[in-house]
Amino acid sequence: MSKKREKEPDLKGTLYSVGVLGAFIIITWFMAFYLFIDRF
Amino acid sequence: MHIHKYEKWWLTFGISSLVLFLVVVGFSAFHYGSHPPSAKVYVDPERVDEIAPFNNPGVHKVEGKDWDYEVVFVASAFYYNPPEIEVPLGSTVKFIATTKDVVHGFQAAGTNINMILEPGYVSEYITTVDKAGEYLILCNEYCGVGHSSMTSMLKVVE
Amino acid sequence: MTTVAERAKDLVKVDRRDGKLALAHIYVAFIALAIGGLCGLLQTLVRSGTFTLPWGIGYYQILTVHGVLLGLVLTTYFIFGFQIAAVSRTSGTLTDKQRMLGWVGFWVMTIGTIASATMVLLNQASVLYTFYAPLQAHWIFYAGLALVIVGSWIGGAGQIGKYIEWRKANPGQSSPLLTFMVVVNLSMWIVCSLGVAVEVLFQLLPWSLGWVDKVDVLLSRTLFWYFGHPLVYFWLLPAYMVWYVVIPKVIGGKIFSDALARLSFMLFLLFSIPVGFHHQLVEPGISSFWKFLQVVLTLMVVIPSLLTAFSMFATFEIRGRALGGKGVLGWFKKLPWGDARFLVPFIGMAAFIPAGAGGIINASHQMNQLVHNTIWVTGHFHLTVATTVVLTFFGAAYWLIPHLTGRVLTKQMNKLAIIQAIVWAFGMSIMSGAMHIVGLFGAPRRSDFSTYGGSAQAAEWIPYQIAQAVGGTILFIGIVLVLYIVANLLWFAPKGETEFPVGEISENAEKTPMALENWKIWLTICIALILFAYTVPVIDMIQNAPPGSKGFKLW
Repeated sequence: MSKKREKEPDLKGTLYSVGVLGAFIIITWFMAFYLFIDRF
Repeated sequence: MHIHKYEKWWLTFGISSLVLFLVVVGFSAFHYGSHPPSAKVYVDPERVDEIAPFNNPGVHKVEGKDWDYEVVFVASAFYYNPPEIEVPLGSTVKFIATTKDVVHGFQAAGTNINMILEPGYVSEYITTVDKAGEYLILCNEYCGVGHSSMTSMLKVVE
Repeated sequence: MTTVAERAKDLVKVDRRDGKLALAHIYVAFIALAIGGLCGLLQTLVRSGTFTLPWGIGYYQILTVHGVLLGLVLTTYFIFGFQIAAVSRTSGTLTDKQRMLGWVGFWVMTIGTIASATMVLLNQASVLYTFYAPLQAHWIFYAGLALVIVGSWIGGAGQIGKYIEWRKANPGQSSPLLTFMVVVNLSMWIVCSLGVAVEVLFQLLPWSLGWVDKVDVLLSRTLFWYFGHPLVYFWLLPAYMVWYVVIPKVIGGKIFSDALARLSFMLFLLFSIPVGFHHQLVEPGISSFWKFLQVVLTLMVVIPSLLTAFSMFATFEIRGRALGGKGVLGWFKKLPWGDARFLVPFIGMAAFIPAGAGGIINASHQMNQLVHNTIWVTGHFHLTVATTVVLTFFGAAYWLIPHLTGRVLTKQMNKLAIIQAIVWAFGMSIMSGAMHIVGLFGAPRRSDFSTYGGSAQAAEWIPYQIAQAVGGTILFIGIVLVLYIVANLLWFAPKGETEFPVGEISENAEKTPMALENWKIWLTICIALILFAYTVPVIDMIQNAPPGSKGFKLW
């Protein structure tokens, strides 16, 4: 199990997927924040 | 521990976002004073009716304070006193409320006025009512069989 | 390539006696699902304004049944059933003493559940599953809850006992991942349930028995939420166990990283508990400073979920690429979409994206005013617990039950399980979506149907409440389907061998640092964080406490 890694696995798809997830979180958060600021 | 390059990027991005959220809400709270209702004022829940300001619920104009009106509410199963209030558009209002019995909610639908009323504690919230309209005030913390009929009305008038 | 040794490992069976104990828990869980689910359906119908409960049954009575049975009983029993099987599978058959603790715990919890449920059905305890004082239930309701908690400690001790035994027998070695995760979850559970135990034993029980007149309301709520937030992570972590350990095996891949999996579980142990104030953000008597401090800690608990998201996608991508998936997203198509053991939990994972985003909004300090106690919150936890967690549990039940009963999931049942998950996702999208939207309009949670004195605002909510009833009805069909599948797997499915899938660690993964298993360090940090977050505000609460409250029975 402690074999040397020759190469890191290709995880480009993972990077994009989590990127979309992160963008979703940020967008919804700022939408909620806008609503909060807009209301009294 | 070895961590994949992309995972480092993702964690950096994710944690930065969380920090950003915290900075935004922390700055609005501690710099601009946009705190959630967190008053530390106490009252004997069995003598609420005798103690000022709760001996005189309603809208009171005040002078020399950071707000123009004080609105005093007393909640009890399953009523708010007063059942309706009117404040002028653009005025700054301090809502002061407590409960005589169990825990109640105090929420004006469609606004940020949303606080829990607990026996023994006074809940306070200050805001500038900058949109005219009629806002339903309702109990949003389960208080018993009449919970959903517990209402009042906030009228913001020109 | 699977070697002979690996194939032999795949066939490791949970010992029949341990299996019986696990199954006993699972039976109770699904009985709770049946009754609690029916109550949920009735609630959505009542709230649509088109249906009235017969025989004088109260709305808040069925709401209490729904919350207690699904939030507390279904979850806790399924989790214990799963964990017992998982420990027995990965660390070896329980000793007679460990199994005996499991059975004693089971019966203590069950007696407690029956006692509390009886008082709810007699309308002596319509206080909802949060039982906020000074609404005062019958003392037997509180005593029953105390038994549930104590029973869970006894049963948990049996599972932890196996881990301790394994560590002693294998010094210097990393424990089996699944067992380790079970022990993290139980540690969190024990530390947090001390809070609710103190509330029930020292505040509510003496007060409901009339031994003391008054109760400190804010303190009781604070103790409840010290327990209440880690409770939701107690539900979530077993789902994460399935995702980290079982799913990689089901899709034919390997666990992305043993060390990162353990690290994320340890972070949950540290940051799940000192965060209860984010449920109390709009209440008096706690200063904004201490609320904000716990908000910071709350957002820390997002980090292990970020780690988990990456690990899941990476597991899928590596496997999909090994199967020939090309391009940036080609691997996605290669996943075993026709396998219910994968698809059902996968839908649960997908639901965690909006669920998590909503959770961050809820916990964002003053922004909580936007959503506090609105039905948005109900929509939120119907995504977290009632979709992410529950679908993962269903997906696990489809191999766990036949593994324990010596049967197999047939092709037809697999198909039905997939249909079930799609029905669930569809019904939940409608119900939870409507709840989120109308919650932002201000519609409250936990409320009977009401026109609120003819309010124009409340009139706008009604179409959404009808949508909730439509979604709720579809979800109830989902419950009938899953009960049908579970009954099949318990009693009717063909006899055969079903694997308890346990993933192997990827050969690319680094050796796991032993520090992750140094409980002295982690438990010390855990307790230090709790003391840091709670000591000052709780002392303040007690010193400045107003006169306490006598009990009220207002239902």
